[in-house]
Formats: sequence, C-alpha cells, structure tokens
Amino acid sequence: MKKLIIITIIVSLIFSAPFLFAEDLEKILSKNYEIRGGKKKLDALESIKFTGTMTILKKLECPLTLWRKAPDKTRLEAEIMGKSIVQAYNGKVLWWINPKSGTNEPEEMTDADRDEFVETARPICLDSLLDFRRNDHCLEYVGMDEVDGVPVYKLKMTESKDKTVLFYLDAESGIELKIVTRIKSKEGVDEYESNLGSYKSVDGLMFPFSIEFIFKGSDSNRTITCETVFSSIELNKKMKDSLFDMPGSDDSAGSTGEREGK
Amino acid sequence: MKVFVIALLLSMAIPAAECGSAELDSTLFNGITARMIGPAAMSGRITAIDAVLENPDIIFVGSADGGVWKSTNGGMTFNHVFTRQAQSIGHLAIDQTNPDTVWVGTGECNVRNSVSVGTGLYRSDDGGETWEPAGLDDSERISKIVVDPGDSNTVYVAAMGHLWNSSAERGVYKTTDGGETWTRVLHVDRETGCADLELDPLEPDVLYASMWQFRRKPWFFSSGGPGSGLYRSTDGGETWVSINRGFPEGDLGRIAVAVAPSRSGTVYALVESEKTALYRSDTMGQDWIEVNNTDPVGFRPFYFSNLLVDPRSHKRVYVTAFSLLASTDGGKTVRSAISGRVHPDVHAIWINSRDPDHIIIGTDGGVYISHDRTRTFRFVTTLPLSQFYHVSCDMRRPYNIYGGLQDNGAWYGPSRSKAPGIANKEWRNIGTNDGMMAVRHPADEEIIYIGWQGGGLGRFNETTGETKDIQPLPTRPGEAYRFNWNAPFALSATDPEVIFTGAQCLFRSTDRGEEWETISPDLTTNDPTKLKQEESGGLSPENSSAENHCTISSISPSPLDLDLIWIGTDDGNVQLTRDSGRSWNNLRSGIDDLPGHIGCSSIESSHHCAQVAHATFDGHQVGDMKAYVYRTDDFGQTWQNLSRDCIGGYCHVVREDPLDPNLLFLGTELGLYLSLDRGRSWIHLEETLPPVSVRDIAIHPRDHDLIIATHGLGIWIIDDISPLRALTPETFGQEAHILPSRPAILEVPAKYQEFPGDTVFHGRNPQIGTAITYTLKKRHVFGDLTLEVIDGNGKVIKTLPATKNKGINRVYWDLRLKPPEVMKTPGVLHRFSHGPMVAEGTYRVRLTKGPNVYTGDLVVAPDPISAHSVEDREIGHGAVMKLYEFQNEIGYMSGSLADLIVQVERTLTEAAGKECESMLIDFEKRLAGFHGSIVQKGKQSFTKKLAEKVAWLYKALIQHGGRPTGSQLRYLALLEDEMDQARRNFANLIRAEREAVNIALMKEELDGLNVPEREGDSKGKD
Repeated sequence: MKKLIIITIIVSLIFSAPFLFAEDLEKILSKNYEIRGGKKKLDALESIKFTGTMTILKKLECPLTLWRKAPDKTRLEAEIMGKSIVQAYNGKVLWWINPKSGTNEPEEMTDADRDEFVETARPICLDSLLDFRRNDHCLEYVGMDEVDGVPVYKLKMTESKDKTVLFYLDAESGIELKIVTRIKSKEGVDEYESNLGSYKSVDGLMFPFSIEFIFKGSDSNRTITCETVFSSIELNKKMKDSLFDMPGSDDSAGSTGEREGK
Repeated sequence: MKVFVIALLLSMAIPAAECGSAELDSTLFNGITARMIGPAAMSGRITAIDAVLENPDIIFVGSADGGVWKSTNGGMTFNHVFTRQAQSIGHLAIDQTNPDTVWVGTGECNVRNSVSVGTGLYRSDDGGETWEPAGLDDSERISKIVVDPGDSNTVYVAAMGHLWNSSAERGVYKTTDGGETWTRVLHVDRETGCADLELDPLEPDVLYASMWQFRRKPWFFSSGGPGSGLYRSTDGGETWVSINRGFPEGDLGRIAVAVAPSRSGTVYALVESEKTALYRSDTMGQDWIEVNNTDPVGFRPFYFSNLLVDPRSHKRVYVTAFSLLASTDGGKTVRSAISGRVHPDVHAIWINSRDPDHIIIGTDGGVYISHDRTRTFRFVTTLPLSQFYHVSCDMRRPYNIYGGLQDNGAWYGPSRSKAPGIANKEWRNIGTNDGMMAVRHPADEEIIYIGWQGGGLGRFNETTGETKDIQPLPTRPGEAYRFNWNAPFALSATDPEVIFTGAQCLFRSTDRGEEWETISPDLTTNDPTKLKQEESGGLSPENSSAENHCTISSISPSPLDLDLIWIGTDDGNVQLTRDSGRSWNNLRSGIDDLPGHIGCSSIESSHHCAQVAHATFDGHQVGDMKAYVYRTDDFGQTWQNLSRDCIGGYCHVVREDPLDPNLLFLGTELGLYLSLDRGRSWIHLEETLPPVSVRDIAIHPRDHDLIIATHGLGIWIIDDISPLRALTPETFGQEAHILPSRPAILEVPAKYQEFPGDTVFHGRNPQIGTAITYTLKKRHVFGDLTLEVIDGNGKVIKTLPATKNKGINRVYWDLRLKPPEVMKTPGVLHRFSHGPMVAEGTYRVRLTKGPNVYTGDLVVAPDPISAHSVEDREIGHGAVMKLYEFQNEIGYMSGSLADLIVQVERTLTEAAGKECESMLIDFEKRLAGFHGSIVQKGKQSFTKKLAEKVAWLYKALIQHGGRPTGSQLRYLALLEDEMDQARRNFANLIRAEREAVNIALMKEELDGLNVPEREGDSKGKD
C-alpha cells in the first residue's frame, strides 16, 4: 500500500497509520528546511530579487530580473530576442508589456491567465514543501529513488485532481535536486521539470543559482529546454508596492515609478 | 502559455552490467542524446487503432515496432506515448466508460518473418501518460483486448503466444479486478493461441474466440492444425463450445471473427483452410454459410486477418487484406475500398460508431483517415514509424543517409536541413518493394546500389531515374540460388568498383553488376531439412523468399586487405577467405559456446587489425532470445564471447569504431549498447533510445556521427561521438574532465521561409554550433560550476550554463558572441538576437568547479564548403565586428542619454525657479536632440538614424560569410565617419556640457548628474 498521507494538521492527528509515515515525511522535510536555512528564516522572508540569464533552447540568451515581495507580488523583466517583456502581479491584477503583441503599453491579462498564474506561482518563498499544509495539499513520501545515480527521497504532492508535483530531495543533504510538475488538461499532460544545482548560501538561506528547466508539452513531441543562471540573489531589499502595479491603473496612483527604495 | 515564462521562473526560483563494469552504470551516459530524424514520409506498419467515442479526436495508434502514438487533434499530430516498453504492439483498447484507461497488448500478431516480440499487457489510467505492466508477461503476442462495456474491471485478452516455439501462456484470459489477477478461460495446447476475440456489445456475456495453431521457423512457416477452431461462450467466458459447423472439413488455420453491432446473432468469420473463405452466421455461430471465397478475401491469412462490421448495417462488412475490402451485401461481393494513393496491406481499421463515414485504417505504410466512408483518405504525415533494415551514408555536406524499409522501398535523405527540421519532402524514394540496403557508389555519385527482398539488387541512376536489375542469376541448368530475405551486398572498401553479394555462395562483380563471378562454394550447412521454402505456409502455401534458409546473411570485406572477406550465414557458419575466394575456412567450430541452431546476423572486419572481427548471432527464430556477441583476434581460430546477461534482446549488429578499437556499438531488438573496453562490459543507452529494434549502425567517417537504423522508429543520430573515444572507465573517477570534440564548423545559416502548418513531420536538426562535453564524478549540487570559452588572447568570450549531471554532460555553444547591446528605445527594429560568429582558431574551454579548474581545447574551423577565400572571410568578419562594436557603443550612448534625461527631469523639480533651471532645460533639449539623431525615437518609421543604419548593415553582413559588396564597404566607411562624429558629440555632451551643468547645480547645492562608466571593453564580453 502506498504511503499516502493527507497532510493537514487535523487529518494527521486523527489517523494513526498515516502518522507513522508522516513521521518519515516530517524527518525528510525537517532535513530539507534545515539545509535551506531553517523554516523560520524562510517564513520571515519579505522580498527576493533574482538577477540572471536564461538560455532558451540552448541558444537564445535572455537577461532577466525577477522581484518577489510577500505575500504574493511578483514582477519579471526579461529581454527575449532583443525585446523587453514585463510581466507582473500585484496580488490582484496580472498584467504585462509584451512588444510581440504590437504595443509597448501595459495590458491586463485575462482572468483565466491570472487564475493559471496564481495556480502555478507560489507565494513568496512559501513553496510547495513549505506551504502544503496551508493549501491542504496531499503529500506522500513515495520512497527512495535515484537522480543521476544520486540517492534521493521522492515526495509526491497532489495539489488537485489534475496537478501533481514530484520532489526529488538529495538523501544526503535534503536539498531539492529535481522537481517535476505534471498538469493534466483535456489535450494531455504538460510536464515541467526543473533540475536544480549550484546551491549557494545567501544571508544564511540556500538558493539554487543554476536551474535547468525542461518543458514537455502534451500537444507535440517537442521539448523546450531553458537553463537559467543567476548572477545574484538579494534578500529583503525594500520594494515599493507600486513596482508590481500596472502603470496607469488605480493601484499605481501616486507611484513615482521608482522601482526600489534606495 | 502566456503565463508560462513567469510561472516557470517562479517555480524554479524558489529554493525549492554487467551492463557496465563494476564502476560504470548506464546513468553515466544519460548525457548522450540522439536526435530522431524520421522520416515519416512513408511511415510504417500499423497494427492497432482505437479512438475515444465521446471525443474521436483522441486517437491511439499501435505500430509494428514503433510503440503507441496518441493524437488529441483528430490525427493531425501524434505523440509517442509508449516509450519505455516493448515497441511491438499487438492490440490496444480504450475503456470507453473511462477513456483515460487504455490497455495495450504488446507483440505484433501479423506474424511475418521480421516481426518483433512483446512483453505482455500494459495499462494506463491517465490517458497514456504512464503505463504499468498488467500481466501476461510471457504471452509474446497479444492479438486482442476486449473491455466489458458494462464493467471496466472485466477485461478479456487474447494471448496468441510464442511464434517460434511452444509456450504455455496462450488462449483467452479474463480479469474481473482490472488486471490484478487473470484467469485463463480458454486454452487448447502449447502450440495454439488465440488469434481473435469478439464480444457481442448487445449481449456482453457472449464471446467468440478463434484459436490458431501456428509456428514459424527460420526455414518454414506452418499455419493450421487440429488445434485451430472457433469457440463461443455465452456466460462471460466461463464455458466455451466449439462452433465450426459449416466450416470445411479437415484442419483449419487462422480465423478472424466479427459481430454485427447492430444485430445480435449475426457473426462473420474469415476462415483459413485449404479453401479459405468468408462465412456468415445469423445464429450466433451455430451454423455457418460460406459467402465469399475469392482470392482477395483469402490472401495471406497469417498476415491479414481482421474483420469489422459497420456499426449500423449488419450487411456492411470490411475485410482488411492486401486491399481494404468492403461489402454491402453481407459479404457476398467485395470491392476494394482504397485507391492506388493509399498504401496497400491493411491491418487495422476503426469505424466511428456514431459516424460510420469516419474510418481510420492502418497499413504497412501508416495511417489513413477518411470522413466519407473510404471515398477519400488523408495520409497521416506525422508518424515516423519507418522500419529500416540497413543504413549507410555518403560524404556530401551535409551527408545523406540511405536505407531500405519493410514494404516501403529504399530512400535517402539529409542528415540535417537548412530548414528548421528535416521535412518529409527532403527524403527521396529510390526503390520499391521491401527495401533492404542502399549504398551510394563512393566514386560515381550518380549511382546508388539498392537491395530488396530475396536478393533483389539494382543499380539506380539518379540522373535518369532508371534502375537496372543486377541480381546474379543461375547460369547452368538446374542451378538455383538461395538468397536470404534480407540478402546482403557489400562494396569493397579498397576498390570502389568491386561489389559482392551472396546467396548460398558469394558473388563478386568488378563492373558494377554487369557480370558476376562465383567466388565460393556453398558456404552454408546446406541442410536439406532446412530447405523448405517451397513447402512453407501450411494451409496457405507461400514462397516469398521469407523462409529461404541456409543463405549468406552478412558480408564484410576487410578495409585493410583486399583479399580478406568475412562471411556469416543464417544457419550459423562463419567463413573466411584470405585469398579473394580461392579458399575458404569455416570457422564455426572455433566458437565454442555458441548453440548449434544460432544464425549469424552480422559480421564486421576490424578497421584496425586484419585478423580481428566482431560478429553477432541471433537465435530468436528458434525461440532463443539471448544475445550472442563474439570477437576473434586470430582470423577466427578462436572466439571470445562478449555476450553478457545484461544485454536485452537478440542481436542484430555490432560495429567497431573506425578510430578507437576499444569502442564498440551493439544493436539489439531492444535497443542500443556501447562498450568502452572492446566488449568486456556493455552500457545500455536506455535514455538515448527507446527499446526499439536497432537493425543497423553506421559511423560517419568524417563527421563522427553515430547513425542508428531502427525497424520502427526511423533513423536516429548521436552527433559527434569523438568524446566517447577519449572516454575510459577511469575518466568517471575524476572530479571533472573535459572531453575532446570534433572541430566546430562555422556555418552561415541559410535564409528560410515556409509556413507548412502542423501536419508536416520534421526530423530534428543537430544543435546549432558545437557541443562541449565533460564528465562529472557526481552531480553538482552546491557552489559554482561555470563553463567558459576563452579566445586566443585569454579573454572570456562566452559563459555557458553548465549542466551538472553525474557522468557525461553536453553543453552547446552557438559559436557566436553575445548579441549586440540592446538600445533603450521603444523602436525595436534594430535589435537582433544574434551576435557575430567567432573567428576561426583554437579556443580554450574552462570548467570551474569550486576551486578546481579543468580545461580543454576546441578548434573552430571554417565551413569546408564555404566559397570564400580566407582573405574574403577575414574582411567580412572584420566588417561585422566593426558594426557589432558600433552597436555596443550606440547602445551605451543611448542608455546613458536616456538615464541622463531622467536625472535632469528629476532635478528640474528641485531646481524650479532657481538660476540653473533654464540651463537644465536647455541641456535636456540638447541631450534629447542628440539622442534623436542617433536612435530612432517614437513609433517605427522608415527614417533610419545612425543606430538603424548600423543595425541594418550588420544584419545584412552576418547573413553572409564572405567579402561584403563594394557598396557595403563604402557604406560602412560612411558609417564610421558618422560614428566618429557621434562619439565626439557624445563626449562633449557628457563631459564638457555636463560638467558645466554640474557646476551650476553645485552652486544651488543640488546633486550633480552622473553617467555610468562603460563596462570595460564590451567586445564580446558576457
């Protein structure tokens, strides 16, 4: 029988059998939180700024900057084929500036896009392994596996009927080596695989500075591969809320346009 | 997908042998990837089709040797969804009650001589995304799966069983718990399997099962016997009764059975006997009436045995045969329902029960879809299921790949394309029949030798399109030649005019096949008990050469010695001549531990040492599925057994690398293997290739690619195996190691424009640029890992994202500097994603892992087919680099000016009413004016400023590898002058004028205006 655990605090208190497995899981999660710098410190994060370069399809280099502010604000600026793309979410509105759409003006994206974004993106630093309880997600310790011959703990999170996430944690350190997300739609299953590495400590928290991302779409046999290397990751820099608001919207009223309080 | 970019960034930004010796495991080689180039132009044999009734756009197709493919768009495109299991498919069935549940039975049941093997039953509960084994592992072939329409947990499976030997797992199996347990509910004996199974959809407890006694040997096929017959159950398989009343007396053979879905009790049966015919019963099989015994209906029952009744009309019957036969009168008369534009040899048919005009058929040449009840068909062009027997390559640039395919003739196509992928239309058909080998004449490019089944051999003239049949023919009364179905031919490696082919003896021609001389006696065992081709077939005799035995199966002239030729025969002999055929030695007795019944599937002379050869042996046609690989170092006197238990599948081919004698490649029925140590240990490249039948392997002598011919999934290429030649087991013990690559070629990309839509299959091109290959002792997890390219001046010109896998890693460099500086302006006309190509020369590759540095060299060479002289290339490159630098400079100026203007505007709010205000306003005007003079502002227009002029000339020049035109060079000189002027103006603005403004601001105690320093010399620096 699979080691299925419904991870909510209440459920784990009620059912004793899963609790045994929960103990395994708790040990693994504790190890993971510890190597990453501690749950308390992770929970206390207020903002992160990532700066780096993404190489798409092994040839297209895209410089990017990503701002994240608790609880769920996000802004990405990237240059793709010489064009600047901005996409941001201020907790309410998802918008973007996409020159490919023929304008350099900001545009609000659809509700469906926003819902997809909210579904896919995480609250600041509260990633799946940190916030699954809050989201009532179902997490199970599947067992030991291997990534590249490295022994790993394999955890499976079922976020919904159509979405599962597999975590492969280095058995030695507890850190994530690979994350595979599978999202099912009527066309089939999209698979997003992230291979994480070059972990370095930033102010006591461990971050991957190198991520290989592989997208396997359901609608074709093609895969999209991106490699992202961060040159810097900065924590708890002050970020004005207006950075995440759509220019010209009510939310941005009074914004100076200044991105970061200096 | 718009959310994709940001979502993926967020998701990843959160910290979130002996196959192999004792030290090596196959995961170390996961970095070795192969690209599939198709083709899909001719597709391949289809064995099963099903679609979701509620949504017939979802289609599953099973193939003979290429696994299962799924379409979600009505057959426009397909995904390979069965990639890690046996690729030979017998049948598949969707549970229409829960369409995410799909059952696949492996092991094709069109039991021709070249058929593959299965590994049981599989089940998917997520629409084909993942598969779990579901039992019947030893069935080898599953002919039918039927899901009870009222109970998804009840499934019936027809296990046909082993083709080449007796086996126990045959008959009808039933599960009532979704496949957890199976009960055999109908069984005859170890020689008789279930060939067809039908459930009456109106009465699901009524089942019909046809049992078939059959056996194939290398020299014989037997269809029919006392075990054959038709059975019926009316209680869900609990009990069965024989229902053969009305069938011919005597032995029966293969029987296909079909129930009319619209009329319970009406059943059709296509019954093989000495008088094969179509029968009909309106009494649930109690009595049968012969309705049609014409030849088309009774054609090759071992290969075609499938019936389907129209869902609405019990009199409309389809028979899959050489043609698709359709009857509208209950089978009394049939007509061909396909035209000459549809590949014949139909094996599978699906009819949409809610729209019977919607029909999908599967043939020896792929899938065809009709929406007008067979009047017209659309060929599915996106299924790369090509079934190659052999492969060869030429020396053109790019090189072409040649091969013959099962029932699809001979073809050649490019190894890469100037287009984004290798399209079907780039493949050229050069032969018909069952294609085997195809080899271009090494000296006369007009000539291609083409082989087909049974020793067919032709000389194709590419200019005229003529093929001259040059197969050797008997010259004396009573003489007869026995050519193998897959008879070999070989060109001498030392004399391009010499060609060999073999029947039971070896022939040589020195004039391109006009005349042949026999240069050997019968080299086979010539065992009369195995010369039964003319008696083969059982109830349906057939002499197609498929069972020709005691024949030559492999010929390998030595590349080192003109007189030395190795021969392998399908009955196990290995023969060697060292004097051009004057004398022969049968070396079979030196192969001590090779079982007596095993044939030689390939033999290859060494490229390094005349006395060395490698050979594979294959006994699957007598039921021995083990791998047999051998090597001799002494002209065949003794043989070393290189077989290992870890090798999966019987062996088709072994190849020794022409440059590294330690490096071997092995193709088996279940995939590709390599050895770094002359065969002492083997690595299964299981991530490189699905477990598909690898029939042949070629190594390109110039480009060092490994070309893999599969019998079901087309051609695959591992680009540049040079790194493998430098690899030893010890390499993996080092913390990190950079492996050498072939010289990287500077290719100017061709202009290309086409918008073909999604119905065109494109084989994958190689990655642009070159691969940098390195090994890591273990997966890199903590700390920096950087990969840099350093030019001859010691300057880092590129930093690449280093992958961090344990074992082999391959990172691609596009041989370009980073793109020019992006200008901060809304106009984007002049922005390009491509940096200039680097110069020819030797570069250093540097991998830095923590404190340790590892280096290697990389040679970047000009394109050998470049039409430009060295001087012209240098002039062109110099001009491009000038324009590249201009853009970087303009980018810096533009960014600085924009930034200054922002600073001025901010300062103006503080300077309002002060003495410096007007000075600031004037300075802003001058900044904006100059900015507007070098970069187009506002909306796009046709007025080019300096930035646009530079960018447009840059764009023109990077698309060509040689000398710019005189006009371009003069225009470049003009731009240089404009650049000089712009530099002077810029320097004046940001130095003298800004200083003056800053002095005024200081007086008002306001912050001065700053200009960022340009970061070093931006030439190519990341």
